[in-house]
Order: sequence, then structure tokens, then C-alpha cells
Amino acid sequence: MHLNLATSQIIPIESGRVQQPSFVSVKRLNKGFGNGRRVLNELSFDVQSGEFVSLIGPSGCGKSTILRLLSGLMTSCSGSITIDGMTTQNAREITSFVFQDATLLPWRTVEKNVALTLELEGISLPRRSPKIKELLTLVGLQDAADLYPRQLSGGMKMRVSIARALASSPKLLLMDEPFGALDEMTRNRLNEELLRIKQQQKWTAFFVTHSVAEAVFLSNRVFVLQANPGRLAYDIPIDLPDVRTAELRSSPHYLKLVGEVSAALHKAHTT
Amino acid sequence: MNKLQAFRRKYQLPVIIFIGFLSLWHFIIRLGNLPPYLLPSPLDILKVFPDRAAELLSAFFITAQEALGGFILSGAVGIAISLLFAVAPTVRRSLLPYVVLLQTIPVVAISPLLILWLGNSMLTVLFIAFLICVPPIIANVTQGLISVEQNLLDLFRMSNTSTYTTLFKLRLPHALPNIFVGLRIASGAAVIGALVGETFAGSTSVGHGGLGYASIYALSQLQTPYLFAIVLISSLMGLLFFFAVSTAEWLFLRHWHESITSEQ
Repeated sequence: MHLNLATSQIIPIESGRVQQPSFVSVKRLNKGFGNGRRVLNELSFDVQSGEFVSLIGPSGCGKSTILRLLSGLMTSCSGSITIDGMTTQNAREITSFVFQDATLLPWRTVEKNVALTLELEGISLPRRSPKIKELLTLVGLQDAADLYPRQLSGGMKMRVSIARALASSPKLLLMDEPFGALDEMTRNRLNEELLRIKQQQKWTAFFVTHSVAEAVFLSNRVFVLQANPGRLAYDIPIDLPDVRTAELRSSPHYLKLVGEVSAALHKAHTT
Repeated sequence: MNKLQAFRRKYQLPVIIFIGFLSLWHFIIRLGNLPPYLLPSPLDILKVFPDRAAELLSAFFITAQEALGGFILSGAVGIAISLLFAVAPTVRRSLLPYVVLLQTIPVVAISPLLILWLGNSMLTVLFIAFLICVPPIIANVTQGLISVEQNLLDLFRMSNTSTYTTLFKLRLPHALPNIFVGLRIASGAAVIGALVGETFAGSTSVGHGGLGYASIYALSQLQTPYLFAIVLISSLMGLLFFFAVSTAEWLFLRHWHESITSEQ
């Protein structure tokens, strides 16, 4: 459906090998606010299609700012971002944002909240309703379709929010601490379900979190950021298997990685 | 059974107080031998209703039309202006202070001017009711339309929605509770506006005036029981307006808004 020229171009690199351009490419990004505070300084990174990247760091390191820049909700002072070969503005139709709170419309039922993005894109009711049913089943809310947000628990609200984000079949999912307000049990279960959904669908994710355990459990890469001004301190690959279940949380390799990321975070915080 | 008990517990005391109050009123007049033009007994007032039903009914409907007309007009105009304020911040910043200022102008003071320009008619009275109703509607609805949280606005921006889609799919439903606050205030103000308006600008021919005019007439004739009947029937109108708005509010908000759901 989406015509894309950039992914079909092949760029040769020095060694003679050929390589696909990155799905998300950020180059020398700078962002300051009106009061002169520098939020991001010369930030550069490349992320391949299908990667799950967690952003972790002290407050003020610009984690949320990076998501807002990637979504095009905010513009940078200098530097460039390309998503699937497009500008962030043009990439909006393949991008979904999951906010810190569930941001549901209280006057709409669960089903109609999930349908919102499709409705706004002008997709007709008969075409969107099978899709909505499928999404509700995917997040385990098939029996809650007619409930209103006030009748839902925090975890259920977040499931609705995720279903809504997935409704437009995004290629890029930006999540700003979506599970931050949930208790640990609910958070763990939603982490597992998010990965289960990711197995079925192919999207690239940026996930802001304060929890090292959550970052390691979910990601292929963890970006540890440093504050004042915000910059990338460590880019830690997480070489855990693609299929991850709750048991992984007690495996020595997982715990070792959690320890490494914690140490990196500590160093980023103190230097 | 439990429901009945709860009902009794809730209404028993107020009903006893009400009956006691009426009895006390009745006996004070009988014992003190007060003349009915100064203070009629409850029974004297009650008798007015069958005796002068046609007059009361005609006055009631005239005032009701003026109040309802002013109320509906203020709702339509008030919401339309608020929608404009929501999409045009510059217009809002330039004009909203004047809406607030309008609220502070005593309409009674400017009603002679309205008579000068519009004459003595039901339309003038309707306009006075409108003037009293419109500022609280604009103030409340505008507040509801512009106080949408940033994340929700960002959610809509992510779908590249137009200003108008955001206005009607997000801001307007978000403002519904505020719309009803405004309408509830206006429903009471509309009846007051119509009554006060009539005393200044209502039709002066007997039989064509509303309750406000009838009360001035009753006062000049010292028909105090009739005056009391007018007070009662005016209060009834106020109650009807209030219940109509509350019912509409319940229908629109019962599923999702705290103000309704917390009472269930």
C-alpha cells in the first residue's frame, strides 16, 4: 500500500559489500528550548527495521524529546531524521505513538477507542470492524469491547491504548513509558504480551522506560543516555533469543545483562 | 423493601417539615387575624389556581415561550461563538474579556434602552433573557473546548487530522460536561430574565402579558393570593427548565462522566 523508494535503493559501502539503508537514521541531532537549555547534543544513531530499542537514562536526558522528534510532534534545531526514507512528517502514517497515560477518550467504548485512528484516517466502518475485532482479541480484550474507559483497570486501559496504536498497522511504534504507572506484575505480563504481538507483526519500536529490567527484557538494543545535554552514552546490544518468556527473567544471562545495563546507567549518571 | 425504606428515610423529614410549615402559616393567620392582602393563607392561594386557571395558564405560556426562546438562542449562539473561540485563539483573546464584561452589566439597567430600540414585545423580553444566558454558556463551553490535555491533541496530530475534525471529534465531546454546566446556569437565568424583562418590556395589554407583567398588575390591585400563585407557578417553570437540562445531561453523560457515574 505504501510506495517506498528508499528501501529499494541500495547504497554501496567502502568494503564493496552492499547494505540496505537503515530504517531509522538520526544524524547530528541538536535540540534546545527557548530558555537556552540544550536538550540534545549531536545525537546520531541508526536503527534497522524490526529492532526493539529501549531508551533509558536519568531525567533530563531527552528520552521523551527523542520520541517527540521521531514522531514529528516536535522539530529539531539542526540535524536530520529519516524514517523509512521519509521525513518525520511524512512518516506519520506509518508511525504510532503510545503515551505515558492511556489517553483514551472517556466518551467512547473500548471498541470505539481502538477504532479512532482508523476512523480519523477515513476508513469505512465495514472495513474497520473485522480489524478491530482482531486487535481486541490480540490484546485479550474481546469481552470488554462495550465497556467505557472508567470501567477498566490501569493495565486494561494500556492494552486498549496499544491496540489503538496497532490499528493503523504501523511500521514504527514509539512508546513513552507506557507501563510506568502499572504495578510490577501487570507490567511484566504486558511486557510478555508486547513481545508476543511483536512476533506476529513486524514493527520497529522505540521504548522509553525507567526500568532496566524492562528494557533488557524487551529490547534488541538498549540506549543509555546521559543528561545535560542529552547524548548517547552506551549502545548495548541485548543478545537474548527472539522468543522470550517469563522464565527468561531468572536466567543467568538475562541477569548478567541487567547488571551490565545498570552499571552503564550508573556510569552515565555519575560522569 | 429496602428501596422503600431508603425512600422513606430520605423524604420523611422534609415532608413533615413542609406540612408543619403550612399548618403553622395557616394558624398564625387565623389567630392573628391578618388581612389576606397582606399575607394570604395557603388555602387562599390554593383557591386561586382553579379560579383563575385561564389567566395563569396564558401568562405561564407567554413567559415560557420567552424564556425557552432566549435559552435556546443563547445555547445555539453561545456554543457557536465558543467553537469559533476554540479554533481562533486570536479572536478568543480579543473578545473573551468582553464576554466576561457582558456578564457584569446589569441587564435591568440596559433594558430601557432595549425598549427604546426594540419596543415593548415578547421579542424584546426574549432578547433580555438571551443576554442574561449567553455569557455563562460562552465562558463554560470555551473553557471545556480549550482545556483538552496535550497528549490527546498530539494523538490527533499523529493522524494528521484537520482543525475541524479535532474540534468535532475531540474538543466538542470533551466540552460536553462544561456545556451542561453552562446550560444549567442558563436555564435558571432564562426564567429570571424573562420575568424581569416582562416587568420592563413586556406587553402592557391585559391578557397578553406574561407572569412578570401579571405580578406587577396583581401588586397594583393588591391581589396578594394571585401574586403568590404567580410566584409558585414561576418557581415551577424554573424547576421544569432545570429538570429538562438535567435529564438531557444524564442522557448524554451517564456512561462516562464522573459527575453522573459517581451518583449511580
